[in-house]
Amino acid sequence: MVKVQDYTAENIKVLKGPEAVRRRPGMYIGDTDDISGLHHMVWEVVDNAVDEAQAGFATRISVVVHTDNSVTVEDNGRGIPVDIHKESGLPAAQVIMCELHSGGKFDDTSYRVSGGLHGVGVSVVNFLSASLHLEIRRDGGVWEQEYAQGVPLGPLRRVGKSTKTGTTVTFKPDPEIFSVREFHHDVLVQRLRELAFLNPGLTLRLLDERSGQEHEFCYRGGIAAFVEHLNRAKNTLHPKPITLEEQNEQGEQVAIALQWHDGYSENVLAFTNTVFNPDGGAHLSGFRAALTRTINTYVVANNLLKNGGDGLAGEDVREGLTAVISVKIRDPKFSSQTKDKLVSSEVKGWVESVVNTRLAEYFEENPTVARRIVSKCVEAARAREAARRARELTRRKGALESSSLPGKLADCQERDPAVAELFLVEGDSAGGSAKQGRDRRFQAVLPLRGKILNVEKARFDKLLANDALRALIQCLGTGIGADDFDLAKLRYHKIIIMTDADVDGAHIRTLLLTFFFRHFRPIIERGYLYIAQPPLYKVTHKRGEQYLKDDQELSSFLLERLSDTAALTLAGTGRQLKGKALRDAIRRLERAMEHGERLSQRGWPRELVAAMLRQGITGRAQLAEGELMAALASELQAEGFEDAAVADDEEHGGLCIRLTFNRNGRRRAVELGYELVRTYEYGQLAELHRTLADFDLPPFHLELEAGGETFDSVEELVRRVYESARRGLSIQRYKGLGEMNPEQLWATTMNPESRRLLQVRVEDAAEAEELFTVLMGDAVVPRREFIERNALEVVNLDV
Amino acid sequence: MTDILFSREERIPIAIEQELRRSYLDYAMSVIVGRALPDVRDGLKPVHRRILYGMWEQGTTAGKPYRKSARIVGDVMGKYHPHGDAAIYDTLVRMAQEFSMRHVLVDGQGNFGSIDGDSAAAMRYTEVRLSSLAEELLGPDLEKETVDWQPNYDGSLREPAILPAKFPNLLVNGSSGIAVGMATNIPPHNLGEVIDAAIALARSPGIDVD
Repeated sequence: MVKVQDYTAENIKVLKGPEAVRRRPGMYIGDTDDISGLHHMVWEVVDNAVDEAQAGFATRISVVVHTDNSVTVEDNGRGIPVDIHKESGLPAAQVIMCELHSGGKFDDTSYRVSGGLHGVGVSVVNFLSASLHLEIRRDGGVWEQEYAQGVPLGPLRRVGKSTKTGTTVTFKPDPEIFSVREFHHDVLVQRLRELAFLNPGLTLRLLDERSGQEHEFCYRGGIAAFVEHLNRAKNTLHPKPITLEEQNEQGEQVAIALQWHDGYSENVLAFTNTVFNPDGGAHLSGFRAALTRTINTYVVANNLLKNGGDGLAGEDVREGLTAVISVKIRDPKFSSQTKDKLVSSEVKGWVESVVNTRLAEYFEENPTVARRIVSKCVEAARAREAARRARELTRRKGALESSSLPGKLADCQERDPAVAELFLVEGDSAGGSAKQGRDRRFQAVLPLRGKILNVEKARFDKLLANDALRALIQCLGTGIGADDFDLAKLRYHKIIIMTDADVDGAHIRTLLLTFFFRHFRPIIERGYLYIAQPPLYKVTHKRGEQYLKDDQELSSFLLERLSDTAALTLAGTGRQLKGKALRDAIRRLERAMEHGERLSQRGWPRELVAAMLRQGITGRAQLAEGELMAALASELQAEGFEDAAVADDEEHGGLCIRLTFNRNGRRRAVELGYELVRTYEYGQLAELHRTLADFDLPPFHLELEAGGETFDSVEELVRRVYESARRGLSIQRYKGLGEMNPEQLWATTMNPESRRLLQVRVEDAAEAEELFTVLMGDAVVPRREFIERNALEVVNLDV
Repeated sequence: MTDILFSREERIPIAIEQELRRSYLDYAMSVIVGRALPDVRDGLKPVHRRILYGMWEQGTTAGKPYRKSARIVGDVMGKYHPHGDAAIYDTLVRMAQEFSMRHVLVDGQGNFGSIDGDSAAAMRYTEVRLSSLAEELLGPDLEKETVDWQPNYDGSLREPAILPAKFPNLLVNGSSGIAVGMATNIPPHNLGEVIDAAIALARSPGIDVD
């Protein structure tokens, strides 16, 4: 028997504030091991700013993602109150940041409708952040406070003067809590765009400092414009979205915009007080019920269902429907703090009645539009019936030949799907290599000849008629289509797409992804779909050959090789670097250059930053030292920036240097001070500079086996050092899998001990949906626009 | 089967949106830039350029004897164009068909098909050499460092990034191609007229059609 410990009152713990949240973050912020929780941190802060906008005080919200994945959210609202809160004796701002269930949303006078309601949002963000910086501008002053893991590092203090108002929150999610810490640009863009649609007139800006991308959204058209945006890649059945709206005296509101297109997918988004509810809830179910009823009523009243069938099902009327439902209500009830689902039951009735009356009215007033929509629905019903019959037919046919697997498949011996793997290989050439190289006990290989059918453009019956795809479906063993698909019958739990590393390989990969996304979504959702990663380079040198997975591995290989033989002499100090010291120095220089480049893109030229570092300015403290700043100003003047002058920084206290410089033929003003010193990049540079001070004085002399080279600047050194390392090597980019011997393919790509796989997941279903429509669908114009917009992102251009 | 329950495997999650986007852009841009659309300077797509350069390099020029198409195709495929042989041969055949080109760039010997849609003989039968007009595209200038050169697909050889065309081949022979999200269709023009127009334009820049 295992000894049972006493269970007494001592075991009962009451967790308070920060500890409670940090122990069980899931309840407050969502899943911390996946991107949803991380992004929810941003939304909590943004939602507060949006509430300020809905109350009519903020007009502009800006979100900045910094390079270290910290985020700044800034609004120009009233600013969080800074006066002393009576009950606690602390400044109100600190109470809001540090106490759960505190906030202005419980008091109907400051906010009428709001997305935030539990009063936990921003304090939770504070508790789950490694560091948080709060800056408030109001009543002519600037206040600041710093927190770490929710604990204030000092009192809220007034640091300067300002005529502006607003709140700025910068937080860095705590690595102890979040295993995923990288913000996804597209997720942020999409949500901010949604918010811009739902809050007409509000300007939302996103700046991603990691890539330098910037977006600004401001729409006057509201949710109708939102629907038009969602449908921009579709052929719509009626030019203007239908809008249904109703308001009551308490300022509560239901607004719905809907538009049908000639496609087959349904896309209905539901929002409560501008917060997206991914799982829908009362408003969505009310909308669906009323929509089906209203259309059926119209059909019956006008006798449009020719063969007197059973009426239209919900899925028929929603085929090709794009709709946005936005309700703004007081005291909404959600299933959780993450607001996934609205549970306020009274909303259902309201939404139903709005749709019933208003949509019926609309149909009466616009009979042509109504007829077009209804005929689409009737068609959908007919197609549903036809598809059912077609599937039944194939099922019967399938029963006859289900025992035989396609001849192309080289199956594995293992029957247990949990360990069996299926490699989908491009072409017979690579198929042969894979077949000979595999471990036949558990790896099966199916070669696909040429490009497979694009299922986005083809109808279901054509898909079933396609040989290559039919073979693939048979291999999977699950059947296809809503009724037949059975995940339990899947024969392999690892389906690995293995295509060449060239453009056609990329194309086949997109075609296969489309096929799985459209017809085998559960396989992706369960994480059964993978992409193999064949090596990108083969390096041949005197001693033999070596495979390198990617550019990163190539550069570390080159550096390693260089540092074994070369020596670098620094002319300034006479120091000589070899081996590991040389390697480390070059890595650091590269990092410093990256940071410098980022700052330069944001308007702080490299040479100015370098001058500051040379003067020993490492942080905010030095900005207050008058002598140091004066010395910097005179150094800058000596370097040719004649108007460099020390000035007071009113908002943040301390000093700064203001000057102008020429860039691209235009005169620009720049301020070297608080804003610059605060950036992540500057902090890193100051840190790196301590060990790299030797490199302030060029030239550098690199001594190699094959001779020496002298570089006049750090930039040149870093750029050319790799070229020097390449000498005597033949580096070949791998393109085809068939170029490799079977053993090589096994060792580099197929062997579970050493291979690397990408596991395909759906992160943002709406975005994926749209991307597949745009890229793989029929309409050419949106595709061209997409390519033009993103042309510069191309990683591998292959001619 | 515990020996194949793997622990050391590296598994990196990737969002389908991201993978689709990246793969598609790689494909689309490569097709647009490097496959389906001609360069405005010499009016050639890479496959044409490689065939012409390959033939020129081998000395299969207008004054020399014909050479078997299969040799040309094999040579171009192995040295510069790492794609299927059929695609290369079809391009070669088209450049030799009088009914496909305003002025042929390849002088063919044997059955190169007809306007009725008959296909050309297999590449083991037909023979080709450059036409004299094609030599004007390559010309003696190629050796005089007049154009940029680039490494071939495996970095073992160099090939011209562009040919030093002496006449505006894009206008003379026209071009058509379907890429991704965009396509091109340029009609052919009379050689003499195009050259006269080019000279007129060079003499008085800013001249208009009238």
